[in-house]
Amino acid sequence: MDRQKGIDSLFNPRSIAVIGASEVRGKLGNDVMRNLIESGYERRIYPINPKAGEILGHKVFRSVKDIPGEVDVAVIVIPAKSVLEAVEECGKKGVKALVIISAGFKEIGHEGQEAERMLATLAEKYEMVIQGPNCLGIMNTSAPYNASFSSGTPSKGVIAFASQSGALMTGILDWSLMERIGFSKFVSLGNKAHLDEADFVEAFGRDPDSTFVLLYIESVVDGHKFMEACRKVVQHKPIFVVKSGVSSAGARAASSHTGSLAGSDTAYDVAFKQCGVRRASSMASLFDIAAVFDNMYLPSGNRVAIVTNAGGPGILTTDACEASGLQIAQLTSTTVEFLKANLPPAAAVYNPIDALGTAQPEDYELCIEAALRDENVDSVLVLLTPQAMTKQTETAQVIVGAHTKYPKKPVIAVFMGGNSMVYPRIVLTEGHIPVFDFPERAVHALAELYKYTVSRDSLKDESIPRFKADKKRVEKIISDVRADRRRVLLGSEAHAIAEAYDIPVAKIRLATSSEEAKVLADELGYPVVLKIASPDIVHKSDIGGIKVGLKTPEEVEAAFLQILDNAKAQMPKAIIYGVDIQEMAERGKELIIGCSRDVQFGPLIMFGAGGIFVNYLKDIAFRLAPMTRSDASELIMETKIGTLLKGVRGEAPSDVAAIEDTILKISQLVTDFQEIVELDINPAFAYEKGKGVSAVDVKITIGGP
Amino acid sequence: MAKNILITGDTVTGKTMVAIALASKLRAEKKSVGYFKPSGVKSYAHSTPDEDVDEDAAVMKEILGMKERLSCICPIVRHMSSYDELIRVGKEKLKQKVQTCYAKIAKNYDYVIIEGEKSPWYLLHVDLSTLDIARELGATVICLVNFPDIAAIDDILLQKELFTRYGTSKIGVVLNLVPPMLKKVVNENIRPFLEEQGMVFCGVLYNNRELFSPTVGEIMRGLKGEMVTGMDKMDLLIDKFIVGSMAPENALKWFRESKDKAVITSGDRTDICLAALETDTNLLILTGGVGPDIGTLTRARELGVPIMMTALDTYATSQVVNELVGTVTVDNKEKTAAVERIVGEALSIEGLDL
Repeated sequence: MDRQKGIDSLFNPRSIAVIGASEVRGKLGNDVMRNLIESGYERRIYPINPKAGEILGHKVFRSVKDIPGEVDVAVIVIPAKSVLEAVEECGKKGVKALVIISAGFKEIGHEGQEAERMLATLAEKYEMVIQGPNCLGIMNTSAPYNASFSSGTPSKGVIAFASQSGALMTGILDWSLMERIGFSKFVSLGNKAHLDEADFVEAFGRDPDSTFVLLYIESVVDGHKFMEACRKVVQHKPIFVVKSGVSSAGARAASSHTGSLAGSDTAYDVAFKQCGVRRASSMASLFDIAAVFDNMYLPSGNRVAIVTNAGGPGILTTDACEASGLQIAQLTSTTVEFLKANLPPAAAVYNPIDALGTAQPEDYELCIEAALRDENVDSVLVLLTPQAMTKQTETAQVIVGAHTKYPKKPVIAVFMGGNSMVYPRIVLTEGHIPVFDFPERAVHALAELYKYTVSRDSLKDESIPRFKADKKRVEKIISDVRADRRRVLLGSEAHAIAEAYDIPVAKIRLATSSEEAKVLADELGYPVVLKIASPDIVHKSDIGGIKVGLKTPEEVEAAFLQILDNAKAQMPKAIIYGVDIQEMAERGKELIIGCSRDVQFGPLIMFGAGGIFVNYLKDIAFRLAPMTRSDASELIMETKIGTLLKGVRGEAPSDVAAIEDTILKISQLVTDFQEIVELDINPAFAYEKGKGVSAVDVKITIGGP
Repeated sequence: MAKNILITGDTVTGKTMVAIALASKLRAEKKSVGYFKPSGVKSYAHSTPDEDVDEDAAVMKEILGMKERLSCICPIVRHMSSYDELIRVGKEKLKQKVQTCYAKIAKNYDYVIIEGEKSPWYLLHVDLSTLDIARELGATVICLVNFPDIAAIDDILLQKELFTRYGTSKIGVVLNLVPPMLKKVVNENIRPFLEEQGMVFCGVLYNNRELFSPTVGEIMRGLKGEMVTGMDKMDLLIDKFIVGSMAPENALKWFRESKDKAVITSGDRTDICLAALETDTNLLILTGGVGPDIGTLTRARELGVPIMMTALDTYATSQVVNELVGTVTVDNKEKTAAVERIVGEALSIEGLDL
C-alpha cells in the first residue's frame, strides 16, 4: 500500500468525518468539532453520532455509510471497544485516512495489543492509512484544519513537528503561540499501530509547506526504514530530533511507556549521525533551534561576528562559540578600518565588536551592517545590555532593518535583561529576529544549524566494500554449535569463523588431554598460549584460565593441568570442553573490535582501545553496519587510540589500512549472518604499517532458534 | 521366572533415569517390565494418610502402568525422622515382607528392575542393603557412578569389590556426569581398563544439563511462587538461572549467551524484563512480591513466556534455585521422553546377556 498517498489525503482532505462527534461541551467529540470549525476548515465536515440532528451547525449522520459522496479523512473519538467496527465501516466506505484519538489499546495490555494488530490488518485490507491510536490528533496550518482535542491551533509556519507524546505537544503548542513560532504540520504519533515516524518524515520531506522537521520520539518502529527516510529528506530539509530515554532510569521509563524494549541509546545516537539527523539534547534546545531556523537562512559557514555594548557578555559569547564549534570571524581590513573611523577610539573593533556602553542605535546599525557586508562573516550575534543611555526599542528596530537589508546571513539578538526588554523583544519577534535572554542558548542554536549543514554535506553515496568469504564454512560451524545446544562458541570455533572471512587470526586448536596439548603445541610452533575452553567461563584470566608464553612441551603440560585445576576450583559447575592451544602473537597496539546486534538498528560495530581494562578506559566509538570505507576510517579517528595509531612520540605509524579492512570484514560477516548477535575481538594487535593486524581472542555468541 | 536387574549407585536421581531408559529399551523388544524398590524414603508430596509412598516408586508405577499396589512395589518406606524404626521391626519380619512383595511382582513380568537405595550399604544393619538384595535375588547389577573426573575410577572399583564379595557375578557400569572433555579418555582408556577388571561397560552419560534441569513447576514449588501467566507451561525445562541486576545496556549481551533460561529480577525492572523476553527466556521470576507492569505482561503473553512471582528476595531466590536438581516426575511427559531418548541412546546392555 502506498502510505504516502494516504498521508497526502490526510494532509489535504476534501472532507472530514468525526466519528463520536458530540454537542455536549467537555466531551472529546465536542472539542474535536470545535477545533475543526474554529481552525477555519472550509471543506465538508460530517459529524457522526447515533443520535441524529445537528452539531455546531453541521448535519449529523448515523454512520459513515450514510454520507453522500466521498469521505477523505475520519477522526475517531469513540470508546476503544467500538473502534474496530467503526474502522471496518470506514474501510468499506473508502475512507482514505483515519485519525484514531481513542485510547485503550496497547497501553492497557494484551487485548489492546491484539486490537492494534487488527487495526493494522484492516488498514492494509482497505488501503487506508491509520494515525494513532491513543493520539492527540493532527493539525495542518496550510489547509487549514485542526483535527485534535488541543487547546488552540498553532500559528502558520514552516516547521513540521511529529511527537510520540501527545501531552508534550499541548505544552509546546501553547508555548509556541506565545513565542510566535509557527508550524506547518503538528502530528501526534500515538501508539503507531500503522503509520510511524518514518512515514511522517517522508511525508514532511515531500510537503511543500514544510522546510524544517522536528521530532520527539521515545522509540522507533523500524530502524532501517527510519534511517532510509531521514537520509532522503535531510538532503534538503534539516531534521532535528529529541529522543528521550538516554539515562538508565529514563530508558526504564521509556520501556514502561512504550511497552517495548528500549534499544541502546548509543545505537540511536549512531543511527542519527549516520543518516544526517541532528540530535537536540533537550526540548528547550530543540525549539531554540526552531526559532532561529524559522526566520533565517542557514549559515553558509561557521564564522561569527559579535556586536555588543558590553565587554563581559562579549567574552561569554566568544567562549560559547568556541565550545560549540563556531569560529570567531576575522574581519577584513576594510571592515576594521570602517569601524575604526566610525566608532569612538576606545571601542574594540577586532571581533567581538564592542561599541561600548554608550552605544546608540546608529552605532549598532553601522556595526551590524558592516559585519553583514564582511565576506569573512557568516552570521552575526547582537548583544545588548541595558545601560542608562541605551535605547533598547530603537536598537531592536535597527536590527530588524539591518536584516531586511542583508537577509542572506542569520542575525540573532541577545537582549539581556528583564522588564526593560519586554517591548524591545516584541519588536524583534514581530520583525522576525530570534531573540534570547542569554548568549549561550543563542550560540547553541546557531551552532546546531551550522552542524546540520555539515552532516547533510557529509552523507556520501559510497559503496559497501566486499571481501572474499567462505560462507559455507561459517554456516557449518554455526549449525554444529546449534546441534550441541549452545549459544556461545568455543575459541576454536570463533577463530575458524574469523578465518573463513579472511580476518587475520592467531591459529588455535582444542586439546582434551595433556598429551594432545603437547602435540598441538609442536604443530603450531612455540611459544604458545593455553586457554580454558568452556562456554561457561567468560573472564578466563580472572580465574587463572590463561597461561601465556609457554616455550617447551613440559611447560605446556604443566600449564594444561594447572588451568584445569584452576577451573575446577573456581568454577566447578562449568562444563569444560578442554584447553585451547594457540600460537602466541607478537604484541602490538592493543585494540578492541566488536559488534552487538541492536534490536532496532541491527549490527552496532565498536572500535577502540582494547585489553582487560577496556570497560574502564571507555575509549571507544561506534558505527552501524553495513559500513563504507569512510565509515571505518572515521570510526578509528573518533577514538584517542586512533590518534596514537598515526604514530606519535617517534613511533612508526600502525597499519591503519589493515585495521580498516578488518573492521570492514567484520561488518560484512555480521551483515551476512544475522545469527551472530555478539562478536568481540579483544585484543586485536595492530602492527607497523605493512605488517597488518592479528586477532588474538575472538568471542562469538549466536542467537536463536 | 523374572530376570532381575538391580540398579545401584550413589546418585540423587540417576538411578531412576537409568531405570526409565532401561525399561523403555526392554519394552521396545516386546518384553514386559516391572519395578521393585525394596526400601525407600517417604515422600510427603506423594504420600496419603493411608499409605506411605516413595517418590521413585510412584513415578515408575505410573510410567510402567503397573497394577500392583505401591505398598507392594516399595514395601519398606522409611521415615526420615525415626532412627531405629527398622531395628525395632526386626530383620526377619522385614526380610519376609520384601520376599513376599517381590514374589507378587516377579510373577507378572519378564524383567524386574530393582532400584537400590541412595548408597548400596544403606540398611546393612538389617541385612537389607542393596548388596544383600542383589545376592538374594540373583540379580545382574548395573552400577551407576558419578564420574566428574578420573579419580572416580576408584569409586567403580569399590563397587565391584563390594558386590563381588557379596556374591554377585555380573556387574555392569554406567558412567554419569562425565565432562565432554573426557570423551576420548573414556573410550580409549577407562573402558578397556574396566573390561579388564571383569566389568561390563554399559554406557556413558555426558554432562547433560537437560537431564537435571528443573521444570517451571519444580521451581514454583521450591520458591513457593505463583504463576502470573503461563500456567500451561509447567513442564518447560530450565537450563540456567541468571540474576538480572546489571545495567540495562549490558543485559541484552549477557542474556543472549544462554537459552532455555530463567531470569530472576524485580518486577519494576521493565528494561531487564523486556531484554530477557527478547532473548529465549523460558521463565521470568519476579522477586520481592513485585509483579510485572503492563508492558512486560503483554509482551510475555505475546511470546508465551511464563511469569512467576515469589515473595522471596533475589538473593534467597538464587540460593534456592541453585540447589534445585530436576527430577523426573509422574506428570512430566516431556522430561520422561527426554530421559528415554538421552539415557536410552547412551545405554548398551548387550554385554549383560539379559
